[in-house]
Amino acid sequence: MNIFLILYMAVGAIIGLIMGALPGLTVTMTIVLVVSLTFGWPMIDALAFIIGAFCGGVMGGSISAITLNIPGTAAAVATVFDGYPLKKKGEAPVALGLALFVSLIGGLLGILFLAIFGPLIGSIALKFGSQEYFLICLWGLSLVAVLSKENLIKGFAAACIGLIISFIGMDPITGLMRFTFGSPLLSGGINYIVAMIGLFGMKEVFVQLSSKKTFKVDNFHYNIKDLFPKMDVVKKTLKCFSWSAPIGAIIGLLPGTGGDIASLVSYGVSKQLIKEPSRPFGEGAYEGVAAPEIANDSAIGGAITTLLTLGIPGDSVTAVMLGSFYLHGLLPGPTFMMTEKKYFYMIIVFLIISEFIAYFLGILGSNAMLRMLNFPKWFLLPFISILCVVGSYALQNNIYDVLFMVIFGLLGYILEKSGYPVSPIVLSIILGPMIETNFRKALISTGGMGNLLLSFITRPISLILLVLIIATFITQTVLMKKIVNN
Amino acid sequence: MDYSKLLDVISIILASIICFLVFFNLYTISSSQNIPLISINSPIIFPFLIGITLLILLLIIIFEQSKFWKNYKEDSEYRKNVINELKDVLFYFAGLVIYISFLKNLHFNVSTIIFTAFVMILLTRKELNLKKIFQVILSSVGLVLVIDFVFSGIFKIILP
Repeated sequence: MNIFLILYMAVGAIIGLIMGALPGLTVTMTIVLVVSLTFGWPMIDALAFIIGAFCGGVMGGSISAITLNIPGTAAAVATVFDGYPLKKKGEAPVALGLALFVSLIGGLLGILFLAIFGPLIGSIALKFGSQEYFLICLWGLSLVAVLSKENLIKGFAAACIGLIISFIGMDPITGLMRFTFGSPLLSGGINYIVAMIGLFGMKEVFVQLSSKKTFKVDNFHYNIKDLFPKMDVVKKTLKCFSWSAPIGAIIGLLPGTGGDIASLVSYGVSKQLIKEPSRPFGEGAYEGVAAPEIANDSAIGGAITTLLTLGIPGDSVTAVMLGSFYLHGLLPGPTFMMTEKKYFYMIIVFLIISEFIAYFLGILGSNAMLRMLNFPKWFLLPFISILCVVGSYALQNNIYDVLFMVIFGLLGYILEKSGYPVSPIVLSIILGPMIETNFRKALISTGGMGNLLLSFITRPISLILLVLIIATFITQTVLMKKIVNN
Repeated sequence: MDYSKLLDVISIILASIICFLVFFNLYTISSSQNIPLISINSPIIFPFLIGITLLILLLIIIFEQSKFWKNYKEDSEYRKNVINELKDVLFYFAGLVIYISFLKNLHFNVSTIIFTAFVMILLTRKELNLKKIFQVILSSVGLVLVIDFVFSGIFKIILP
């Protein structure tokens, strides 16, 4: 560990905090843009930078949730319920201080979960064959499709479109050119980073361009001392840790779920379990700020566990993280714990340091960040567009990549506006080659489709995965419907 | 996100085009290179299965949406807003494509200053005055200098 790595984490955390705090700019978009800065960097430096931005982004979401009544990220939706009423009661510094502090502790508990369960899940994953790889990828893909939006069919259609995009170029087994239509531009396939920048970065520019929403923060200045946690307030929320941290870590662990669902579930559970809150929920209860913030930060540990040990991203943010890991030569998956064990522990150390850096920078820079929330759209949109252009060009110094990125942006805008989630598209582009290769290997080794289907039932791990797919499919569809209805 | 029938129709057309291109390409590969569609060694079996899945999903979506459209009445004012928003997006998209095509000849700094200034003026057109124009020009030049410094100077990334 050297001083430069800490510097990279700090710069990443600053970018993450600012982007996470700005409504409309998601953590996913932050990671996409941050990744584009790291092309050509040594892997460890890039990891430090990306993890710093990830932790900062998740923590930053609560700032605008409390001060503006607009969650900076989807994971901060539940923070709004009691955070903004606290601000209206003149307790914004207390709410902000509490949110940042419990985020830190929640994040650390999630990392502890990763350190304990990561090696365990990794050792099970070593027994995986082609069938298991295929099923596990399919599990992640179908769950992201299920949970991205309420329309299941459109979610699956989006996943299929992503898979078709991943087929463009050379067949991974025989070398046959597919879906290139004779164009040399398509013979190398579509790079997933280009698709990611377009579908998450440029798409968001188009969405914001057509959005009439504007926001303005009042001119206020917090005393930094007030943003440090008040022990009497923290004491009132201590009991929330006992259920919110496990809820966050376990929900984060499930493929297809993330901090957004964890925070909503944790808020709901706290509302049920706490009979005498500091104030009624929805009217500025400290527990109402603490519960979702603990859960959404501890979900980081859970999501990274699945990402590193199974190679399956839990949500769009970890999908982008997976893409960036691939880009820097790190191959998360069942063999990761065996071949890249040192990187596993390095990521844990980076996460711990980044959580602390994001916390202290969140406190020290909160006034500056609040001023940045007033950045006008006319400045922000061209700025993000140029970052997307530079990021997509820097990948291979190819101007056509920039063109593809813009086309993906428009495609993402149209699809999202018509109810198709874009996360399954990106996830499919990333996982597509792995799914296809393992499917075909399993098909050849079993000797036919019937035998392949039979092997899913006769192989113990495959059978468990199949049962898990069906079970989580049913339960999470019901859970999602409940969340949407509420 | 607000529902728009127009965008829904566009997305269905887009998905149908993708579906058509998949089967067209699979047919071309299969007939020209004599590769069977359904065989355990076929390099096009998986794309074929995914193409079939997309086709089925698309048919379900068309069926569901056509049922929904029967009872759906879109406010003409709302429809007008959607069209205006779409126009803005397409205009911005066209601007980006033109900007990308000029990147090679005018190089990054000049073309980006022109593009960002143009976009900023468009986004502030309702409150445009001399002071704003000055602010916009200053912002676009500053933005490009900062990006150039950060990407080229610090991170040693080649700009377009």
